[in-house]
Amino acid sequence: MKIQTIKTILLATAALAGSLPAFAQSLSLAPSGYVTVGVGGTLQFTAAASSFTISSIKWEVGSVQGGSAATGTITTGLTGGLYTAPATMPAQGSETILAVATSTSGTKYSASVNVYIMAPPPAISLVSPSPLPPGTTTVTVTGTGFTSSSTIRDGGVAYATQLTTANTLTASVYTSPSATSASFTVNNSGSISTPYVVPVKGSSSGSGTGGNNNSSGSSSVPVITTVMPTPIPVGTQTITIAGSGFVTGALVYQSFGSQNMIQYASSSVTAGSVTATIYQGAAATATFCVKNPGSACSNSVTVAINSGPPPPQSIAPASISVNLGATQQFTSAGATVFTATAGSITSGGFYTAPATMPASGNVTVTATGPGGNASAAVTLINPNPQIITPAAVTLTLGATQQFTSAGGSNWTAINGTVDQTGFYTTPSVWPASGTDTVSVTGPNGNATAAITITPPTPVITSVGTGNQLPLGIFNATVTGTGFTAQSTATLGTSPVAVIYAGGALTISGFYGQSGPVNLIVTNATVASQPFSVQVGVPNALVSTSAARRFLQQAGFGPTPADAAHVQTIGFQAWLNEQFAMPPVSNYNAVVPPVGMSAVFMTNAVVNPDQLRQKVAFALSQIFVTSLNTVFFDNVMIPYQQMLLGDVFTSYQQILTDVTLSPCMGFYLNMANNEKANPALGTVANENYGREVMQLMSIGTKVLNPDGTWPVDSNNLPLPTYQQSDVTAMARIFTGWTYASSSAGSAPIFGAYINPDAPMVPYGSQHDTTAKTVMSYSAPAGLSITDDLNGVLGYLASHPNTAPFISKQLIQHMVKSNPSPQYVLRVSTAFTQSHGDMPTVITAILLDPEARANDQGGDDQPTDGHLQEPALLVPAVVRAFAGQMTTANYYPSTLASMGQDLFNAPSVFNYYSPGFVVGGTGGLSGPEFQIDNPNAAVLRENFAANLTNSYSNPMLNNGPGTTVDLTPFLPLASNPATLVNAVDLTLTQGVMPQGLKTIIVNAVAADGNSPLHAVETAVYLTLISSYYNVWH
Amino acid sequence: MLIRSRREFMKATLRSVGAIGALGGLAKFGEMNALAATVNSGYKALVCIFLAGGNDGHNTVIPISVPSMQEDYSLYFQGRQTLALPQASLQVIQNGGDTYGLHPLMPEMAALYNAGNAAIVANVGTLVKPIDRPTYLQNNQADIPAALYSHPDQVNQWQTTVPNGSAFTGWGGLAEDTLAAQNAGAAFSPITSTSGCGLFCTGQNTFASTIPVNGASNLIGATTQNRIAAYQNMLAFDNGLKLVQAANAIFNRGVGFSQALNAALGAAKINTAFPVSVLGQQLLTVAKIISIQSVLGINRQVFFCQLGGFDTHGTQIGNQDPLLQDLSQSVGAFYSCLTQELAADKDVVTFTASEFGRTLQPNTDAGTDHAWGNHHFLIGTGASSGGSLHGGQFFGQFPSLVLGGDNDANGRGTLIPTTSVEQYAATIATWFGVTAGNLPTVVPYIGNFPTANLGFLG
Repeated sequence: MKIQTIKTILLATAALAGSLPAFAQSLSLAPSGYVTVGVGGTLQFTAAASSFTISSIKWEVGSVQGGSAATGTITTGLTGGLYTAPATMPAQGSETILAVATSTSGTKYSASVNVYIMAPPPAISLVSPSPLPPGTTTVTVTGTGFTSSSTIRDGGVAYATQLTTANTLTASVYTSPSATSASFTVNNSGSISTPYVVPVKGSSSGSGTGGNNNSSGSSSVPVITTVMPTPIPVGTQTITIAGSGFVTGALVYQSFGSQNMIQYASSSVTAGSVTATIYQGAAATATFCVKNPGSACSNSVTVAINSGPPPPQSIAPASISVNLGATQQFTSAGATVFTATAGSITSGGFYTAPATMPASGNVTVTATGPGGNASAAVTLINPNPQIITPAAVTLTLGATQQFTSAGGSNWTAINGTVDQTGFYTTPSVWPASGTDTVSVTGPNGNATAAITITPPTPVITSVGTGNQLPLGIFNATVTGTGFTAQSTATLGTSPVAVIYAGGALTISGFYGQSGPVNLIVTNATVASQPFSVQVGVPNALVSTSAARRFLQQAGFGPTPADAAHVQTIGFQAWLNEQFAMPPVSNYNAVVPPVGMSAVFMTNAVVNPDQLRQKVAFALSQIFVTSLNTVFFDNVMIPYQQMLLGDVFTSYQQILTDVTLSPCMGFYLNMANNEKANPALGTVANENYGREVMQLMSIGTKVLNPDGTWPVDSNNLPLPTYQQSDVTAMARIFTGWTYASSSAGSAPIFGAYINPDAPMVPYGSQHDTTAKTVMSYSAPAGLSITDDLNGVLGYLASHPNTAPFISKQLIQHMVKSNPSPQYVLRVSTAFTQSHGDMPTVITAILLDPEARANDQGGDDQPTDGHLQEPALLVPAVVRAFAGQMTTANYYPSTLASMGQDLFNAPSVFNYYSPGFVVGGTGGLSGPEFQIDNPNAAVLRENFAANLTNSYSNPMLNNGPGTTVDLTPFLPLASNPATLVNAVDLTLTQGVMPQGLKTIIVNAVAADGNSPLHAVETAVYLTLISSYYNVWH
Repeated sequence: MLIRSRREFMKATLRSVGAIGALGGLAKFGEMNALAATVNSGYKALVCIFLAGGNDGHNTVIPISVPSMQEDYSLYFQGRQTLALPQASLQVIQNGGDTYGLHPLMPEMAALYNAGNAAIVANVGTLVKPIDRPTYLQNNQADIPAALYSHPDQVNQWQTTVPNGSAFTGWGGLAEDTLAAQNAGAAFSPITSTSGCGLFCTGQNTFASTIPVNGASNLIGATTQNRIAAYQNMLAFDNGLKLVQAANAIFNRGVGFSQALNAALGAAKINTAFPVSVLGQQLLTVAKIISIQSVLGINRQVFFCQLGGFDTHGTQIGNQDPLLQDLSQSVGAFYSCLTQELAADKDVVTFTASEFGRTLQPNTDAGTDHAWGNHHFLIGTGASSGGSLHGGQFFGQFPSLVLGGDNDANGRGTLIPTTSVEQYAATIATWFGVTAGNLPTVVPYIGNFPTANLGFLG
């Protein structure tokens, strides 16, 4: 289905409900899209508000309000900002213009445009030597717009070029003796100068040095290609004739009929062009030719003449200073009306300045004539002004200055204080403008002195507690001296929010990488010394992203605290801690109506034995039992607690404990499985005997140690066992029953389940005849216990078991499609350690393939595994350092997504380890088996239900769950930073930029409360497949 | 282009409902319902009921007196022993001169059979090619389906009809692939599962919708333009991981299916009483979706329902009884609904499937173990009533129940199938409209068998 269709239907559905979604308020900028401006050029931006009214607006260039010399500057206006590009090319070639508007209701909206700054093309003004000697010569090209990557070219030949000064390039060039000229260009990447033609010495058209310019006889006849401008206006006009073969002394001729020619002096001549100033009457056309000294007339070119409208009105002088009371004559051809904004002017243009200085000293004189209006700027000069001394001075805070002004009185200052003797004292607090103005009134008018107040130099003495900031979102006090209400701060390269109070600063924002970083506080132009702050874990052993990703594999996702702990001690030490940690998790809290699923998720969110829980959960999906058959929690609980207890023992121990567990005994009928009864025509139950091989140890196909399988001549896999092996296994597993529930009592065969103790042998019901299972033979007469241990030992050491179990554990913890090499490394560790689980777990988690994408961006096309619902829910809560109690609402959520915990549909689990995902070219994706289209929508429902609070940032979706979004709220006004913070929280801080941009745009357009903006960022991240597929 | 115009009409109706508002909407919905209740004359649907775990066919169809095979109830009793159902309790049915009994809790199925609206295919199962007991006992890999007696392998083989090797598509999905032109323009998947679905529902180009019995889920968080635009952009965002792309595709389908279905399904009303049971509620959902077939614009529709719990290794009598009762009652209600309420009984064929049968010989836990061949049901209006089903009779060959006899793979009454899943599927697919030329695409191994049409439909 195409997206367009969905959209259409969405609208139709909304229409049906009678409530079209409201279109969001938004801010837009014009121009937008692909916007370019030349170096030093200007560009006017206008801001338009949709469905709100702008109260105030802030313009930024490159995240700096008002911009800077390096990025270009922008003026501030309520609906527009004039951007002036930097005078030189900025390093990155583009700048981001950001407008942040505050509406009359106080909500902020932002819009941004990327401006691409274009360097001017290079231009050549001179090439020397000229003429060029034939052969190899070093030429110097003078001009503008050169860079270190500029190349000199002669026609199609590019030469190795050095930038010797900003305006000169040199290159060693080769000139053919047969050439008459060389046409040089300078190429920057993407822009090329106009050609500059240099004659070659000794050629017929040669000119320049040697005095042989005209001595060798007639020059060659030049050729005209174009005449500009076209058409030529009537009157005096400079024209440019382009062509080739022009030499010094070439003259322009205009032809009037067959014999009459007018000759014009040429004002400049190059090989490719001639300019001349001509006068053109009202003829229809003009015909030109060019003659080199001694040559015949070139080809003639005829261009049209444009008699056109009268030329624009002009006025002279266009700009002039006039003393108060003085006069000035203005002239303007044909003008009949003159006006002036101050002073007086006659209809003949005779202007008289006012006697005293008006409010503005800038006067405009306007003449109106046949060509329209023309204006002249008059600057009124007071020839005898009131003088203040000094007129400009730079002072430090607290300094004083004596000003003098003859006869002056009424001294005033804007920021500081000045007494009536002109003695000035700077303000005690640095003013926002960084300047002050002292004014005085005297006999000759007012005078002002400009004072620049040097801001104090900030000195940082401490940041937060111990000069440390938490990783991610922070809010810390900076103490020191010289701080002002105008102080700004940067952490690393990122500006942070600053609040000044009581001489100290509070900085807040987000920083996503742990390690030392410099804080700099700046007052206007005066910056503090960089002050090193430790973000997150000092001397971390693994990176921020690596620790978080590792905890997705080794547990139920990272909490910020657990991630910091992994960063502190490293992977191996963390594994050792986990191996040594006694079980914390259990199901003691299961008391109806609280079920096992709710307790499972609470354990996963809250308890520190993360690795134990994660592996136990994986084992519970290999050694599957289900409440749909065993019915009672009190049967299932001891089984799951046994797995929790066994995870760091050995595979054989686990297999043995599973085999003898009453829960499994009940589930797959190994309990009370009696030997064949010929009288009744019955034989031993095959259920456990089959599934222990098929699912819990060796599988149905012969495997290589790397998990791949050999095939026969028909390309079919080889079966591991036959039906007869199943029958024999069934016989081995006869004679076991439940332990008696009263101490000291003998077991009774066929008794009802005692879920709290392993099953016990009941020898008389054991089939003691000889059995053969694959290559294992049990002779007749073995004891029931020896028979069981013998075959379990055989299965544990069967060559299939290591790859079969290893690959499934990898799939549960790391990825659905491990390479055969990865499986081989783990299965080798399995084999060599005889299934020692800590060894196998370590091999899985520390394998290079598991760790390959720790820094992000190294994802392989086959990477990843879909988070099953039981991982998804706890991971989201943990990521936000959230809390969960057994009152959580999620058991039914999981069930509706196909993972009704501990109630799998069958011994084949919720999903199959071999499930192949459609459309992937045959990739496995076990968890995808329950991710049908409806379940995928239910994932969205989970994210939406968690993030639907209108006003309270403490999200809960029911009483048992708490996720606090409060720390994110201050970031809502900066969508990019907010999404960075959500990225660190949920996707390890390595979310691809393309996905970030989508979410940033959505947040920027949210137009709702800060909480809603944060919820939008979290919601969108949670429903992204990028998040749902851990990788 | 009748369907197209009807869909256009529905779209227009939806728009006008929005324009008129809630009050005016009621009349419009009534109009829509009247339209929806008409099923197109060219419409055909298949309903697969998968009995997960391996139904014990030996206690589903029991020989009472079968002169044609020279066997009777006593032979069954001899093999079944403690698990034998009493002869007097059986629901008696006839196949020519032979008398059989259905499980005592299947009176509805017996009634359908006796009215000519149900048929039985005997001893059908996964096969590479026709095989007899001596050949089976030679144990040549190439002659025998891979991983016989294994649940997931046999499930996949039933759903793909491919008895070995790897297959990632199934015959329901592949059949729909070949019939795509019949469903041109439909916004909804031509295959709907009410309980998850395996490979049966997956074609090369066909992907199932999964509609739980309480309806499809809608997006609830994409409430504003910015969020809608963002999730749509995210679905198109490719970070190069195939599993991420796959998750995107599934989510995209989920959104599309719920939006296409729910507005119409909300108005669908079925008056027939269905059992409040696992299968009953699934078939009720199927009936509702069939009732809005003309709105969905699908002309060849496949449904997949699943009833689990048939892996009766222990205490079989208590475990299997309620399942077969659910099957019989639910199928009875469904057929009644199709006949009396939707007038679609001649357009819809329902059939059972299950990964394998079970051993005739019980185990010591009063249960039975994994076996092979099994008996299956087809339900649809009989040819004598103007339908397509040749009901009231058996197809295939009813097996010998002698332990260790000609039909027994291992001495426990493990039936070696005499009719293949390939033939069973091909006969149904042919009725559904799959052409003879496309049959090898849908059922790749059909050429290994002497006939592709068992004759029970058409």
